[in-house]
Amino acid sequence: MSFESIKFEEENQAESEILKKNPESGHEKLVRSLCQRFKKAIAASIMPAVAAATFVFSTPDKIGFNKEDVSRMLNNQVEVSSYIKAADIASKEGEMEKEERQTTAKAAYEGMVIEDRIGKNDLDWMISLAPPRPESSKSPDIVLGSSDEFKKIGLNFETLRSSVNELPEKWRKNINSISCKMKPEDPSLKNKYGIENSEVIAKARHNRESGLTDITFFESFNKWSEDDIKEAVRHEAAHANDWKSRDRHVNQRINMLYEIIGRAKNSNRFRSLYVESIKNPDKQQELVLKSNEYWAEIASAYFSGKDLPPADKDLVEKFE
Amino acid sequence: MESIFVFDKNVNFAEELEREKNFKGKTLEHPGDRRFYVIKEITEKTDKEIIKTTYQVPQSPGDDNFIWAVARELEKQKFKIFIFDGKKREIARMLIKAPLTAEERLGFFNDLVLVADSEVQELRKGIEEDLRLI
Repeated sequence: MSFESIKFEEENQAESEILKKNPESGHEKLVRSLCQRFKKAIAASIMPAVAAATFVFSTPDKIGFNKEDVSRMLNNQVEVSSYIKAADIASKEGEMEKEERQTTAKAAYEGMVIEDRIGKNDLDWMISLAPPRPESSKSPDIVLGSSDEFKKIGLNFETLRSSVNELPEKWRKNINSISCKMKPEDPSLKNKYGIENSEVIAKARHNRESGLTDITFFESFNKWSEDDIKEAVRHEAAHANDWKSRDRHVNQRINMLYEIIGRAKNSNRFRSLYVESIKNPDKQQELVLKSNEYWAEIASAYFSGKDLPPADKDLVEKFE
Repeated sequence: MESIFVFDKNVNFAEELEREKNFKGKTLEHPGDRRFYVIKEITEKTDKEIIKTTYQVPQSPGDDNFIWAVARELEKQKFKIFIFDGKKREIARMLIKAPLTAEERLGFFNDLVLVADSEVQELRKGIEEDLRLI
C-alpha cells in the first residue's frame, strides 16, 4: 500500500469518528462524499510512476577510459546528441566517482528517451550546444528602449520595467535587451506559414554562442494591456532560461526537457490556453512545439500567482 | 466536444459555452471581431541564432481554435473558466446541477482539473451515486 493510500485511509477513519458524534445534514453528507471521491481520484492521479530506468552505479568490470579521457569526452563543444552518446559510453566504461557515474548515466538515459520521442534533429535544436558557456560577466541589468519609444507602440513603460524587475536576478542575466518597433521589417514569414491575417507582436533572438536573448515588442491592434505586458515579459524570460541556457550543467538541461516533455502530455497537466491550442498533423512535431511552450507557460503562470498542479509548481521551483 | 464553463467574479457559475453551439452565450458579445485571437509562435534557426516570432492570429466562429480565442477573451475580462470534454464535461454538468454553494462548486471544478483521465470514469460513477441518494 502506498504512502498516499495509507494517509487517505487514516483521514477517513478520523472523519468517521467525528461523524459518529455529530450527525450531518443531507447537504453536508453530499459535500463530504464528493470531497472524498475527488481526494481519492487526485491521489491516484499524482502517484509517482514506477522508475523505468536502472543505472550502473558500481565500477564497471573493465575501465576503457581513464579520467582524462572521460573529461575530454564530456566537455567537447558539441551538440547535445553527441554528448548523450559520449555520456552513455563514459558512464559504462569510464573511470569516474560513483556520484558522477550515477548523474552521467541518468542524463544519458533521459537524453536517449527524449531522442526516441522527438528525434535527433529536434533534440539538438531544442537543447543546442552541450558544454557550459564561459563565466558570464553580464550584470542582471537589461538594456531597455526609451519610455517615449514604448509609448509610441502603446506599451506602458512602467509596467514593463516593473515586470522585468520582478524576474529572478539570474534570469535577467540571460536577457540582453528589450526594445520596441512600430512595425516588423520582414512580413514574408506570414505568407510562408499561411497566417496572412495575423499580426506580429514580438520577436526574440537567442544567440547560441553568448546564450543571450534580445526581445522586441511591436505595436498591437489589440493594444498592450497591463496583463499582456506582464505575461509577455514572463513568457519570453522563461524561454531565455529554459534548457538552452548554458548557465545550467548539460545534465540538468537534459533533465529539465525530459521532465517538461513528461508534463506536457500528462492528462493532469496545466491547461494553458496557448499550449492547448497548438495542433500539428505530425504528432512528434506537435510534442516538440507543446513542450517548448509548456515551460514558458507554467513559469509565467507561477510568477503570476495562478493555481498550478503541484507537479508543475515543483518543476518551476526546481529550475527557477 | 468541449465546453467552456464560465464563473463570474463572485465565483457564481455563469454559463456553459458549448463547441456545438459555437460558444455563443450571454457572457461575451460580438464574437468574431478582432479581439478573438490565438497566439502562434514561429521559430527559425540559423547557425548563430534561434529567432522566435510571436503572432496574434484572429479566430472566427467555426474555426478550430475559436475555443481558445473565446477562453482568452473571457480570462481577460476576469472570468474564471474551465474547459472540459468527454466524461469530465459530464461530471462538470452534474456538479452544476448538484445542490452546492458557489464556493463548493468552484472548489470541485478546481479539483476536476487535477483528475487524470484514468480516474474519471470511476469518479463519475461515484458522483452519480451520491446525487441519486439525495
